[in-house]
Amino acid sequence: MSQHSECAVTSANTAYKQCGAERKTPVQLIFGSASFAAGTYSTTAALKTAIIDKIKQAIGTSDKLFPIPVILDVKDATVSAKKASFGLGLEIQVQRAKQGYDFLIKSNSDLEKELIKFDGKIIPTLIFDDHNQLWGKFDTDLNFEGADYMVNVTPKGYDDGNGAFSTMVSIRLIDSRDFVENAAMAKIEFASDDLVGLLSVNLAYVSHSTNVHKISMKAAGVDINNPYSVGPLYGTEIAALIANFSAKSGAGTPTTSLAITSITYNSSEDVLVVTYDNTAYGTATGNIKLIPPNPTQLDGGDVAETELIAVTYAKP
Amino acid sequence: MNYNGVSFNENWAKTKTVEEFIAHEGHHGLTDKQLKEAYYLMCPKVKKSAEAKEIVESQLGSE
Repeated sequence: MSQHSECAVTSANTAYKQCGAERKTPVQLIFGSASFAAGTYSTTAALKTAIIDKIKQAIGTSDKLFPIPVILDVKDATVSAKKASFGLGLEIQVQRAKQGYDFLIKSNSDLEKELIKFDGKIIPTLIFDDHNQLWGKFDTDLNFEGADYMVNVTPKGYDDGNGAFSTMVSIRLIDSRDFVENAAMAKIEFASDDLVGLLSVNLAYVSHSTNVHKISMKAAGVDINNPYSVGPLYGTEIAALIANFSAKSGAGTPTTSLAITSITYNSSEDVLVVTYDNTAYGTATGNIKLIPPNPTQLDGGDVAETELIAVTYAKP
Repeated sequence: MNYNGVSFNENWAKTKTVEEFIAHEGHHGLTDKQLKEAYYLMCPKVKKSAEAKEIVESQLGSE
């Protein structure tokens, strides 16, 4: 007589798909809340384009994606399933395993200043492996997105002359079901420069002659003597994007439109020279806010992987 | 429009006369002749052709 279990009714078919996917070695993480509907991920090309577009969004955009630099080392930090046993010996599983990983990434102290902003936060995370597989999950509406992980960032310490050290980004899965039941993967062949984060570049007032203002474009870092300026590389291209610049004047957060009439890049002083309409400038009071092109506009103007940050300064 | 390394705001230039434009943008190191050329590249002079004049006049005459 065969043994029957009513549990078997709810079980699953168990065919092994020979071409089925499995997780391989991670090469990059992508943080962020972007979610892709079926209409987008139905074609690889559309999903790839959509992901790259999300990376190029400005800071503060709710569904911006943040690619983290390439992974140098992986350590499995999964918390094993917990087991407990009854008094008479039967051992049962009382908690599923919780996946977690520690990644050493290609980084430095400048980047750590940015990465630390993710520390201690629960962030949707897409994981790209070395078989061109982008791992995430489906939500209840079958949108493709990153699974929620707790992120921690450990800065690189001083070298000791022996081991190889780097910044560590740790991720810990929040919901075990996102690793199995809700798991989803898209096979995408990204180019090497597709999954690259943007560099935050601060605009800053330098000097002026009446309505002609000089503005620097520098990325702050740990090196107090040599902040990196994008001027030598992109100054001319940035000035050419005058149609995507705007300015406002007024007290507090400026709201009154202030026309920009011309912009040029002064290479000897490494500054943008921004000319405001002299009539509007004459009546302007309080602060001036200079709003640069957004990252997508910059990219379209051959200013790659850069986000210019708007500056508000007191009218001199 | 970019002219000799200077990016001008075309929409703003269109609200100005050539004299106002030259006076406002004289600090870039461009000569008046160059600034005048830049202005007219952004704000080209529109010449009325004889044919267009005839069409306009005929329509005005039919009213």
